[in-house]
Order: sequence, then C-alpha cells, then structure tokens
Amino acid sequence: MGAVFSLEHADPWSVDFIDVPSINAHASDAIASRIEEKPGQAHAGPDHLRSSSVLVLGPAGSGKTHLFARLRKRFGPAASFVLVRPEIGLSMAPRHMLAAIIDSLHRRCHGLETRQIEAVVGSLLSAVHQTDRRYPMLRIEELRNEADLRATLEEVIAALESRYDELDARYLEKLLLFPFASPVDRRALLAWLSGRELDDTQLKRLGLAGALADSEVIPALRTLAVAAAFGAPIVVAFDQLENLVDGDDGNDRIHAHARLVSELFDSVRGLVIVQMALDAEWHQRISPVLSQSERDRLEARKLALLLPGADEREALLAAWTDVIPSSERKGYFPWPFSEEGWLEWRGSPGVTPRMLMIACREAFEGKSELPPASPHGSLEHDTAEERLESQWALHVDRAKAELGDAAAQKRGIDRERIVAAILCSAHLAGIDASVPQGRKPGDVRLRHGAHETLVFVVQQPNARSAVASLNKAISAAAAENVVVLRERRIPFPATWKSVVQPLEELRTQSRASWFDLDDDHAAHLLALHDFLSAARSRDITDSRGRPFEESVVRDWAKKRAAAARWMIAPELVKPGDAKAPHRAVIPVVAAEVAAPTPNVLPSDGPAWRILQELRVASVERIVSEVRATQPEVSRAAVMRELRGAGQAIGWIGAAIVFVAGGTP
Amino acid sequence: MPPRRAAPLSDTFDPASVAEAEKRVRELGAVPASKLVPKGLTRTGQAAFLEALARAGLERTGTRIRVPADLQLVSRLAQGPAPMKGLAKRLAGVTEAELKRAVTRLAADASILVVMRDGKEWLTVPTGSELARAELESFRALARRIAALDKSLGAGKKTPPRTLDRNDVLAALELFSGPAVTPSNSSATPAVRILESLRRAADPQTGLARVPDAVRPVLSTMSHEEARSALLALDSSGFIELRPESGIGLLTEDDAALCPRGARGVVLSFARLIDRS
Repeated sequence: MGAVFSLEHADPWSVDFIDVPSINAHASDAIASRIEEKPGQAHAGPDHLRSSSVLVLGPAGSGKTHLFARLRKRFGPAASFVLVRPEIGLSMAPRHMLAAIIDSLHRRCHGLETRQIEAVVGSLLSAVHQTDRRYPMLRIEELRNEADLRATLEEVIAALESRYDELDARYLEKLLLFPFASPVDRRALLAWLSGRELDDTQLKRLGLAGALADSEVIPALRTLAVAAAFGAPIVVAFDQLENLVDGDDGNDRIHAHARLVSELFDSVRGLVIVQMALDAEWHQRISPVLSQSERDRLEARKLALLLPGADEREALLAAWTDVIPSSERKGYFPWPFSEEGWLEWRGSPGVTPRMLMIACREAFEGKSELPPASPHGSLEHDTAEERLESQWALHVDRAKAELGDAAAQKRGIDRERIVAAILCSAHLAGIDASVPQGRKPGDVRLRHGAHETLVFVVQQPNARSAVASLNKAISAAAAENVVVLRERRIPFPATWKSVVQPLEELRTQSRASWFDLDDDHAAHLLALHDFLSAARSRDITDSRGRPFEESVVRDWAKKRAAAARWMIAPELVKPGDAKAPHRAVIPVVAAEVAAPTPNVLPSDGPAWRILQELRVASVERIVSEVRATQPEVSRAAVMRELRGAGQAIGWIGAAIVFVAGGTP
Repeated sequence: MPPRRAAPLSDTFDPASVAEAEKRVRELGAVPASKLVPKGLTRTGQAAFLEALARAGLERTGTRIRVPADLQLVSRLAQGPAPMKGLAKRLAGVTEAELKRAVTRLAADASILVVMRDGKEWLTVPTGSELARAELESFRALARRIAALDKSLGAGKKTPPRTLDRNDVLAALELFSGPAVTPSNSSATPAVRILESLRRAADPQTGLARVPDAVRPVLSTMSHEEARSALLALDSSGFIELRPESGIGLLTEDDAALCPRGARGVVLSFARLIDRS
C-alpha cells in the first residue's frame, strides 16, 4: 500500500502518476501556451509559424521529468511529446533526432490507445477538412472507408504544399499513409519515416529505392513539424542535458547540441523545444562555453523550477496519502509523519518533492523518523549496495523493454545506441575508447596497452549497406585488428547472397573477427549507459533521496561489471584471442558455404529430436521448442548440437535447418 | 514602332538584394514591403524574398517589414528611460497596441521595467536605481506602519493632543531598506547585505544566484556563521528560496563552507530571488 512513496523517479511516459498542478504551474503554463499557439500560427501561414524554445532548470528531484508527464496528461492527443536524452560520448545528428522523434511518436497518447503519430495525421486531416480536431481518430476512421483514399490524401498534400514551400511531398505522403497501412507496412513506414535503413522487402512494399538521404533529413523534420503543428504540435524535450559535459574531452558535444537546437529553432517551423538540465551544471559548465548566438537561441526563455513551499508540501502529502485507502491509513493528516516531524519538514529549507517523498516513505515504513535537520550521516554499506542494486535492476528491465520494442518492430537496436554503450563500458573498464572522426572507417576505436581494435557495428537491415560496412571492415583488417559486431537476434537472412562474398573474404583476414551481441549483452550494456547517465543527472539516490556521487556509482558499476559476461569491451580490445568466451566464428549465410564440421555430440539431443519431427525449421523455432521443454538449455547449446550434427542436418543460410538424412 | 514587351517574371532573386533590403530596414526601422521587393518577381518569388527577410530576423506586419518591436523597444531604452505615453510614435512601424504587448512580454521576464514617476509610467532597462521586488515589499510595510502611526494619533476634539516617540518613527523607517542598502553600508543588517549581493549575482531571467558568489563579496563585514544564518533567515521570511547543490564536483570545500545546510545536511548552494509582487 505504500507503493506511492516509492515513485521518487518520475517515469516520463507514465499514465498513472500523482500531480499537484499548482507546483511549477508557471513552467507548465509557459510551455503549454507555446503549444497552444502553434495550430493558430500554422493556419495563419508560414509567416506566423515559428519554433519556440524554453530552457527549464532545476536541481535533481525538483520535477523536470514530472513536468513532461504532466504536459502529456494535460494535452492528450492535442500535442505530440518526444523525449530525447543525450548519448554519452556521441553527438546527436539530425538523423538521430528524426529517429528519436518518430520513435516517440509511435508511443501512445496519454491514457489512450491512439498512437501519437496517428493523432498527428488525424489532427492534420481534421484541420484541413475543417472537422473537429479533438477527435483525430474519428477522421481517420471516416477516411478508412472512403473509396479513393489516395486522392483525398493527395488533396491534403496539395493544400499544404501550396502554403508551405519547404514541405517534402514524398515524406508527407508516407506520413499520411501510416494510419491506413497494414501492420507490416506500418513497420516499414516507421523505419523509413525515422530515417533508418529498410530491408529490400520493405523497400519493395513501399515502392522506394532506399532510405532517406542525408540531404532529405532536415526537409523531413520540417515536414513533420509543420504537419503536426496543425493539430498536435511536436514538443521535443531534451532531458538530462548535463550529460553533454565530457570531462576532459572538451566541449564538442555541447556545441553539437547547440548547433542542432539552433538549426531546429531557425529552420524548422512549429516545434516547441524544451531543454531540461540541472541548474548548477547548466550555469557553470554549459552556458559559459556557448557562443553569444548559441546562447541567444538556447536561453531565449529560461525558467527555474521552484521548490514546493509549505502549502504545496501539504498538498503533496495530502495527494500521496489520498491514494491509500482510508482503511489502511493509520492516522489523519499529517500521517505518516508525527505533528512535530511534519512541522520540521514543512518549514525546512531546500526540500525537493523527491526528498519529501522519501521522508514520507521512511515515516510510512516506521523507520525512526529523523528530523530533517539531522545530518545525513553515512549509510550502512549494505543499504547503499541494496539501493544501487535495485536501481540497476530497474535500468536493466527498461533496457530489456527497449529491446522488446525493437524486436516487435523486427529491427535491431540503433547503431548509435550500441556505439554509445560500448564507449561507456570501455571507459568504465579503463580502456581508451573513441569514435573515428570524419570519413575514417569504423564505429569505435579501442586502445588498451599494446592492444588496439577497430570495431564495426554492422546492424544494417539492408544487404547493400551491410556489404558496404563489411567491405570497409575488410579493408581495415589488412592493416589492423578489426571486430565486426552484430546483434545475434538479427542474423543475416539466407536471401542476402551479396553478403556471402565479403564474409568469405573477412574469414580469410587473420586480423578480423566476429562478435555476436546477444540480448543479454545488449540489455546490460544499454542499462549500463543509462545507469551512468542517470548518475550524472543525480538521479541515482540513496534511501534518503540524496544522490550518490557519480564516482561512487561508477565504482559500484565497475565492480558489478568486472566479472559479468556482458562486459564485452575488454574482450573486443583483444581480438585474436580464440578462447574468448563470446567470440563467434564469422557467420555463413548461403547453404553452399555452410559446412558444419562433424563433431562428437549426443546423437539423440533435444534439437535433433525436434528437427526430426518438424523435418525443416528455423533455428529460432528449434531453440524455442527445446527451451519450452528444457528451459535450462541455452541457445548456445542448441547451436552446438545443430552445428555438430554433421551431414545429418542440411543448412539453408544460417537460419534454416532440415533433416538431410543419416544420423548425427 | 513594335509594342514594348514586358520582361518575363522570375521565381528567383539575387541573394545580395536580400542583404541590401535588410540593411535598409535596419537603418530605417520599418519600410513598406512593396518598396523592398525587387521588380520582376512572380508571386512565389515575392513570397520567397519576404521569407528570406523573415529568416534574417525581421518582422512582417500587414504592409511593412520592420525590425522586431521588442528589439526596437529595448534599443530605445538602452539610450535611457522613456515615458510610455507617446513612445509608440518614436518606434518605427509599431502601433500603440503592439507596444503594450511588447512591454507586457519584456516586463514579464524583467528585461525592462515599468517605473511609476509622478503618477506616470516610464519604461527603462534595469539600471539598479529601481526598487527591487523585496524593496517594494519593504516600502509597502513602511507605508502601512506610517499610516498606522498616523492613525494612532487620532486627534479628536475630546482627546488631548498626542505625539509619537522618535524611536518608534525611526524603527518604522528602518523597515524600508531600499535606498540605504549598499555593501559598503556597514549599518545594514547581514541579511540585507546578502540580499543585495544575491541580486547582483542573480541571473536576470531566473533569479538564480550561486550562494558562494554572493556571500564571498560581503565576508569582510560578517562571519561565515552570520552569512549562513542570514541566508536561512531570508529563506524563512520568503525573500529567497535556498536550493540544494546539483552540480557534480563543482562545489569546492571552501565554497561549501559558505553555504547553509538543509534537510538531512544537504548543502544549499543556490538561491532564487523570490518575486514578492
């Protein structure tokens, strides 16, 4: 029943949170007024439609992320919310921005089944056809039954193009088609709209030649922003901007962020840009390095989040305890505090909502009700360990959910995300890691002592792009150690014949090796990245709500990662070590080059039994069938059995197996 | 003589003509759009030309292109205070209503101030001679106190003549700390001196000031302990809001020693000036 007191870290996408609207109403109203003016400006025409920028500053736990959740709730489908957090070690490019926007638009509107991207299209169609834009899905449902949908959409495109010169008609067309597309086409459209690469089948389905070119990304952003401004303006919230600060590595990422925001502000109409950062970090580390023109744009409107006053603290306590059934409450207001305890908390200076919630939890749990004036003291070691462990587990769960989302869309994790995670894990392991600049090949360069490796993250869903990356890796492997990395769950399909040749060539390179990134690696690496980002944003807190110092969190994470199998950076930096536990052989794709070597393995293994029943099946099917009956069997064990079955099993590419005759 | 043929219209224009037009607008403040658009452009070309001027930061009104009203206003006030009445006429292409909206916008974030002098509204950029919000509050307290003292005299026909104690009047006058407050004025209380120092250190938009930056300049007139107590007193009386440190490794031990502590020993290293209007 005290779960309400454990929500000290706001979930920006939560639909079920407690809000006291008067707290920081000035900030939510300032942003809301900018959102509300956009549809009017969009109707008035390009001379009137502008982007707005608001900078929100506050200490940790003051409610920056909560503000985002509150605005989502307030606007529902009448605005589209995008949350962007900087990747550690990487600068955000316009293409990355576009992907982040589309990913967020694919989320549901607050409390509705409607996705934000559907609300954008529905509101636009309602606005153009002058119907009620409060119900965007109604317009979509009406049009779904229309005989000549294409012609109607063409009219909408023509109407918009006649007023806004900067629109990209092709991008607008695909955006408008999204709500009417089949689930398969939706996946393809999402990938294309986000600027990601598509596989050949998806390209064929959409009748396209390739992904968005670099020169098309900014026009795509302009189109998206204008289209949304008519009914569901896009609010881009850059959160945790303190993560732009790069220790000793200079201010490149701060300037890159400033350039991106300036470009969005100057050349994209109709966005509401909200930047959120810790006040001290912004004032002392970010603002001083900005040029005057950057500062003019990024700090056009600065707002400080206010801490709750005495009355607002009372309102918070009342709101939190209200959700606990009266039969379960053990007293009246100010329960769970005593009168004396509450008087102290009510008037104590510098109390954030997070600190107050944690004090409530302690009082609720019957721990000795420490007066706020008492010093923090040193926490028991075990308590600190437990807190770090529980927050780490939360990040791992979130990363797994992210992987689940990507799997549902049948795509890999974004290359940039994996690169940022590798950089983060390498730095933690004391390995020098950098991103090759300019046109130099590779994604991450790792150096440790005498060892040096260039890592290529080959996540492409398209054979042509994958081949291009593999060829670059082959060229690089002639001169240095190279590791090619790809998520295990997205193997090269058997139909990608063009990949066979470069893989063969790669196999002949003594300095090249392959790394299969499995889900466990990926989830923990992404979690590590986000966990350390949160530590920098002072969001990893002890049981009393006080942020752990970043160095404490890093030390803990270092210990946690030392023996973990997912800590792949040390393994990546020493290629050629054949005994490395996760290093895989370079995969084979076509049946003619797949020649598994016979091996001595149980002749009646579970995989063989299932394959005999099915005769032909995907490797994934066999893995899942085996694990359904024997959960303790790992995927690697199944693969060993299949690869070791010799002539008994035939292979089509690396993903399909069939019974070829004989016994294993 | 063959009839003269009109030159064909074009969608494109020389980028230099945009720079020239922008220069002209910036010199004059506002120019009719019809006098800026080059001849021989199609409607699309004209729209693109005006769009280019908008991208250069100029505003388009019904018929004119002008330097944005806010910018004109702030530039004018940078030369010195000006009465609100009649000011619109001295700005190029700005109506009375637009001026009022600009004033409301800029005054909301204290970029400019509306100062009452002889019952008339004057506009100025902050110069330091205007009363701050906290000082206005002191002034109101003084006015209330003086009114109460005056009322207490209650000269009636049947009452003997009354007077006031000089010390009471002086104590009332002390309620107004505005004009007498400067760091060099050692008779001001530590709280007043720190408040003034915070005002000087504060960000004009957010009112946020770093506590060590505000305390250090006044340390010659008070001890660390006095400074910390004064900050806590200002917080509890609603003049400032003390805030916890949120930087990572930004606060040195020396700086931390200048900051008061809050709940659970948290270092309160930032202060926000509270608008008491």
